[in-house]
Amino acid sequence: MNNKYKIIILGITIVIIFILFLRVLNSNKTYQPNQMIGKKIPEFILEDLFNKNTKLDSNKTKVGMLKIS
Amino acid sequence: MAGYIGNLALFFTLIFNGFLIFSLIKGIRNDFKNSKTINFFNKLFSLVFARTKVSEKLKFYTVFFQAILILIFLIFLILTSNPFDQIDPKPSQGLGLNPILQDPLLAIHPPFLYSSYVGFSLVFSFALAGLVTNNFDKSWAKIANFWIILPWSLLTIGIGLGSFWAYYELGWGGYWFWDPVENASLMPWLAATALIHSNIVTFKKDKLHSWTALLSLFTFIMSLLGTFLVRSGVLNSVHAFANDPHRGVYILSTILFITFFSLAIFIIKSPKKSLDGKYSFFQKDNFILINNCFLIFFLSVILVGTVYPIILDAISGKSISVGPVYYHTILAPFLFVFLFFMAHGPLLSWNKEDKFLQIKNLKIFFPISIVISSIIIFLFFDYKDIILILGLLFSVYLIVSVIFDWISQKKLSLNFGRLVSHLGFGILIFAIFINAYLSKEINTAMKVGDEIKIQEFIIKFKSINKIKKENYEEVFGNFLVTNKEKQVELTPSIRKYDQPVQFTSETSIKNNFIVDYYFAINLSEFEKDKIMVRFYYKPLMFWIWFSILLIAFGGFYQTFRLRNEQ
Repeated sequence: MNNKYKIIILGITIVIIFILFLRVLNSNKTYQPNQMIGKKIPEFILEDLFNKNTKLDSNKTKVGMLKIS
Repeated sequence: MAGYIGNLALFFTLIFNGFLIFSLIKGIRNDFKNSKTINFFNKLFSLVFARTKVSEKLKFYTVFFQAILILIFLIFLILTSNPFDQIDPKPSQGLGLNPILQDPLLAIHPPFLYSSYVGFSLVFSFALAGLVTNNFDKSWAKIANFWIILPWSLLTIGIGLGSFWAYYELGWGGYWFWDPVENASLMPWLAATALIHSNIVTFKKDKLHSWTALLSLFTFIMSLLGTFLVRSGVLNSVHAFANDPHRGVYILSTILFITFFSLAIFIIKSPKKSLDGKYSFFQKDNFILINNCFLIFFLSVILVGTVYPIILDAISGKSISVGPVYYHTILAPFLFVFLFFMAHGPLLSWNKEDKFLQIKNLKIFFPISIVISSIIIFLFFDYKDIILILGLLFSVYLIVSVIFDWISQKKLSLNFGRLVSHLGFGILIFAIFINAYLSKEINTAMKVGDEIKIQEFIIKFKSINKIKKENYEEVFGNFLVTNKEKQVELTPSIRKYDQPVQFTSETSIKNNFIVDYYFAINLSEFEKDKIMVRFYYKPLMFWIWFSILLIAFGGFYQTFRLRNEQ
């Protein structure tokens, strides 16, 4: 095939790819490949995890030491 | 003040680059007769291609194409991502770095990837220079060898580090998620792997010129595609950091501009050499070409799986899920054939024909591999799956072939890099299959004091601790995991970062050469007094990381050997 036609085919392919990706960019949609990413983080309170009867008396406090059943 | 200095520096870099391109065009127009310009650029060129003997024309055009690339990216930086832009009014508090990126490995992993992409840009410019000057031949391939293997080795390390980070930081128990941004780094790696091998054929046999030239361009284009995916905002991923459609349009235009002009040059100037001499199938170069085809097939599958859902979602609004099942189903059967040719190819000669059944490794090593893989399957696996059997058989075959090839080497240093990398790849595939089939996972909710028995594991939730650090609070769970092999204590944690306010799960991993005990915890949305517990039993993880190091080490060794030769 003549080089001129090869370049025209290449140009058309590039234009098609450009239009496709331009639509992707202009759609303002963000592809979410993994369901764990971007998930809204629920409100948590870390203190809920601790035994409320135990005092937190320093920055590094060991709490909730319970019996191992 | 720093902003003004930065902007000034960018401006001067732009001016210098413009001057560089202008001078180069002048030098080319004068048919390289401007001795001052040639001397200046010879010195500049030697900073990069030190001690490498390259013709004047090739040097000129390489620097010319590289300068154009630099100009394009400088304009991109200044127009859409200027790091010295002033924000008015000045915010009292910044957004803060994404907590999962607040990790030492994230200071190492991106520079490796970046260096490799920059390295591929040099290969790209060198290939264009070779095409334009009609110098794409054996001598081009000899010089290019070093400049291809170096960024490939850096990319291998970069991908390995990223995978290792994802393994311990994200807490999902895996090391490869087929995330589009992970794929974006794997695609140039596959293209560069194909390029390394085809370039060897070009150098040794003076063949595959067009194919090598095309791969040189394609490897860099794949790196640019990765840049587009990460920086344009079309993806939401742990790796995607920008969400600016204007920047996306600029990167897209740039990539397509570079792709169009480089491929147009390739079409016009591609080296056309007719093959002469006797053709024989059982030669090293044919096996390399077959595996090149497989590598490009793997790349195509990953490219379609990465790009197609994005385009479909935006155009038709339909969301499709392309996950591990797609990749594993399509890639696995071809991987076995690929491994077979990879084990065989290096044992064939470059010139003379080897009759298939006379090849000693097929008659001796294949039965050995069957015996070893059968023993492994019958000892460790309760159920037999054809994919598992073939995966183990062909990876063991590759390992055995490499070991015997190693032993039979007369001058080891010549092939040491290749042997180490191939051995690393064999171990990697073997470890991946063992890991995929023998991994165990436990998901449950527990509170302090609970003891549960699932599968062969007894998990005790012993205690919970809390510490406060400068920018986060951290709650540690103390767990005791017991099975018939051993008892391990693991302390995974949950962190609550202050800026931005975000929870992260920090894993606790105890490992040895055989198995990783991996623990992650999360807050439960439904049972506030309980913690969601994820425990993974992951065999041969050490060997996955070690094999990636071996692959990269083989590349680095070869790089420095070639450097000394030049």
